[in-house]
Amino acid sequence: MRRGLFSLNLSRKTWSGIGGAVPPILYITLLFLLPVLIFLGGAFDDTPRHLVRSVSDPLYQRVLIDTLMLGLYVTGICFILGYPLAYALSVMPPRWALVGFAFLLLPFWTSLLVRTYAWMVLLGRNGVINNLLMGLGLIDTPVSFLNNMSGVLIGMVHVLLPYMVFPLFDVMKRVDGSLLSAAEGLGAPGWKIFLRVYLPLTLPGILAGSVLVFVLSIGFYITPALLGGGRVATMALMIERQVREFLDWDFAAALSLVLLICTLLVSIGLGRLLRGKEIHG
Amino acid sequence: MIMFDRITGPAAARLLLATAATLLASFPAALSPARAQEPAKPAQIVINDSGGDMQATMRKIFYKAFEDRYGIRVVTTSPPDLGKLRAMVASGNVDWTVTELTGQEAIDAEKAGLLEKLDLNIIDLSPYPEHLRQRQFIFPKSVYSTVMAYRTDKFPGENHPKSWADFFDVKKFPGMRSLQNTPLENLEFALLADGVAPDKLYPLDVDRAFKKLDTIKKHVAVWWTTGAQSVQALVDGEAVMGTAWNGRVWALMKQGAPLAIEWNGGAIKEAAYAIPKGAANSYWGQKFLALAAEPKPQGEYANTIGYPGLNLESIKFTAADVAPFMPTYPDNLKKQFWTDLVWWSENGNAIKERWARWILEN
Amino acid sequence: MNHVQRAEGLTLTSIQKSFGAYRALADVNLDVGEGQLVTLLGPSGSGKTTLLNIIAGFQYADAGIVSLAGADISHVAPAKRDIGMVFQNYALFPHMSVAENVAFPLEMRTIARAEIKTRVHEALTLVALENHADRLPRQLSGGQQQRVALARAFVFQPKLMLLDEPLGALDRKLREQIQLEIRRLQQRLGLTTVFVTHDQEEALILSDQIAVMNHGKIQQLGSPVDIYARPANRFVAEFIGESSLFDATPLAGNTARIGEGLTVVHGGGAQAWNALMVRPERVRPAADADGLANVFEGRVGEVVYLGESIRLRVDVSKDISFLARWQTHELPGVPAPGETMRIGFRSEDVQLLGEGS
Repeated sequence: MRRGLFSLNLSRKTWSGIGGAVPPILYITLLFLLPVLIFLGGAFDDTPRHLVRSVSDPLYQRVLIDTLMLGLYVTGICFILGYPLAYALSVMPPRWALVGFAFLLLPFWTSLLVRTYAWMVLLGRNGVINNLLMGLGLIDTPVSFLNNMSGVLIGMVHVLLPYMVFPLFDVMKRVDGSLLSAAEGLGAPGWKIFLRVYLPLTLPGILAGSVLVFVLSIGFYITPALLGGGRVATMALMIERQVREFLDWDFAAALSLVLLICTLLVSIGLGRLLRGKEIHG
Repeated sequence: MIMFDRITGPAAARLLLATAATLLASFPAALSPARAQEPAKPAQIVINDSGGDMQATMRKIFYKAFEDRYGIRVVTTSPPDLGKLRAMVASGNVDWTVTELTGQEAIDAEKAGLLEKLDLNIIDLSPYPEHLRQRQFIFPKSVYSTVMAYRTDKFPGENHPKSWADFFDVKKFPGMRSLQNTPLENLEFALLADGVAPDKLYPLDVDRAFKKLDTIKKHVAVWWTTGAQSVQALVDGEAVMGTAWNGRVWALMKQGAPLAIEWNGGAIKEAAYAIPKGAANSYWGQKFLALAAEPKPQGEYANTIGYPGLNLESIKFTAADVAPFMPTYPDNLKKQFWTDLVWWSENGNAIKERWARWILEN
Repeated sequence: MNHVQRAEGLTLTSIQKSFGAYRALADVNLDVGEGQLVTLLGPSGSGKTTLLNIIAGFQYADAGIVSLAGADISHVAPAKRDIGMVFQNYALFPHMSVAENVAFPLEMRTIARAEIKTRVHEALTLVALENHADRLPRQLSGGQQQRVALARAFVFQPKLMLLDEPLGALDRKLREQIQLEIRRLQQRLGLTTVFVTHDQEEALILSDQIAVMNHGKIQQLGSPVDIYARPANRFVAEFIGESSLFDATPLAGNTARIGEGLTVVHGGGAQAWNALMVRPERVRPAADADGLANVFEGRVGEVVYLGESIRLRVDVSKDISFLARWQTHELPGVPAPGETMRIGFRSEDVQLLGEGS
């Protein structure tokens, strides 16, 4: 047999394994990767004018930064709420944890729009929450939860919280209880057990949850548009407008590409920040 | 790859589908047989509309009538989407037999060559107003108006805003406003408030309009995106007055919400239907539009949802008590102006970018 | 047994613990003298792990007193007990290096950084891992991990060291080596130690004292020699080592009936007994048997050749068989199954046994 430059020393078994993988890979490439690449290819046009415009136009700069910041806020809040929640679920008797999960997943069983309008009813100036607070005498004038950043954050956190809780729950379930006992027995007070042992051990979950929530939050546009009262603009909204209203797909592709790269960079940065050092799973 | 999908949301998902379709399915259009005199009846046609209450009413009146008359099932999808239309036409894989097109999008679609020509031998436009009778591509299905709506509990009796000048006067009429998150018509409203005569609006003095809008910007609680949101803002008290589509306000007024419409300065325009270029069963699409041009269903439709048709005879079928809530009611019609969608189609994109910038400025 | 509070070491007084209706510990009393190594030996479910958890403070007793170095620690939190524990799975912190693991208990005690460094180094040197300080636990072998766990448990000079079946995961050869290492370290550092195991051989090798546990009680506390040679009851006799054990009916004089037409002469001494046993090495072959108090003739059953010794069963009747273990060099040849042979043992080789509690 001729052994050319590209011949690889692979066993029959390896080859048959690769052979088995070809159809799905081809399928994914053809149906998914290729369209994406073709679409993104539009960004390059003949000249890089679309790309230049998407990074140099102050409007898109501003929206890009707002979008990334929004993602970071949502991720941060999801972490703060999700961590204790995941912990509680992980130590609950399984039957109660199931009930907890049902509540957590409730938003997924309602349509995005219904969910969003429900928040509008709850959070509005005459909404349930304001009426309750005023009825209790806690506030005199209605608080503006809606049509600003707080409304957007509430709406997005509601939807994205499970994406933080599930990876955390999974990791927390697998934390070896004897490690916590060991730390306790070795003289660590509760908060040090948490900081030195529990937190580092759940770091992979924090990392997975954060990247997931961050990446997902970047793609939101209906929720910010509705609950932000028009004041919170996201890149997804800008891209959607280019595609749908202006029919400028090449520029949409350029914006998508910029957002994709920034999302990847922030995700990697987030990973670096949280990972610290290699952890045994 | 999941990441990319999420990054750009449904818009990207649509694009992916469209592009994939381009790659894999450029055949069906080319292979479809030449049309015979009376093409065979398909099992179904697909009509793409705005969904929601509008779709429910369309089904009750127009779709049902079509199904009864021809024995062809009407399947519905939503919402109108210019991007999707373009993707379908480009791929030659057009799902929609007929689609609704909102406002300026209809004109954009016509300009982009995405529409099938109307067959005026099938669709009878003779009872329509003179200027609509020779329509080539866009079927004038009905009219709607972006009007000023206000809370009657805040402004009872005669002490309510009666013009856009009043709307912009936060001293005389205190309280938060809501406006649609688009420059379309908001620029017109600003210019009317600033004293421009309705017949002198176009071409719009964009700088002057933005300058006027600056004065009210911080009194706008909600820049709304969807029709439901526009009236929600008023019902919830987020705003005491705002713009909304007339049918939306009327629907809530019928339910007893403390709202009223000020027709003065309302922006009236067509809601359009069209047949996408290369649509399968386009003959039956023409047949559907012919039905939609008839006065009786148009009258019934207006009675239910408040959006009258443009067949002049349809007024015969409109109930007397609902007529005053129609934008075409003579007293109302004379107070409003027709939005120049052609002007917007030519000048809109740059203004929309400026609008996005303006909204985000503090 | 009379329990006096001692100034040093560990004293358990009347410890009781139930889980619902299940009685895990029933009135456990135990003294572990300073520098002693006591093994809690018993089958699973005997209560030894519960007792360990109560000593460590991970569980609280329903009643009774745990006192360590003279102080009642029954209600003291685990973190404040000053007990170094080695867990069954070692419980090394996977995200910390070997040195960081060992430094952990010292850091919790706000010891100066420089001193921590020295003491960690000393501890790792003692377990011969000073060259692995920067590795992560998962980069070490099972035996090395075990030694890190040990170093972490003694580095802060605890008042007591607890080991919970620490060698279960290791293969036999490594286990024997580490058993000796643990014993050497424990003696060198003078650590008061409680060691939980279900492995009787391990208990015999390691212990100053063995507490044999069953049904939530200590069945016998004694030196390895006591436990092996003078089991307090039938459970201990069966649990530790091999034996020929029979139900027995006392007869006149120092004799007992163990089967149809079979009587055994014993040395007496016990109060209430209903069984007796003979350890296999006490059973002598034919030549020596003559002149002994008990001589039986039987048929050789199973023979296991172990190199330096053989183990065999001699059936003296349908129901009664004796196990014997002999050094091969003392025998003219290896008996063959089916052979007829005589065996015997002295009356003082017979242990009378009552039921365990």
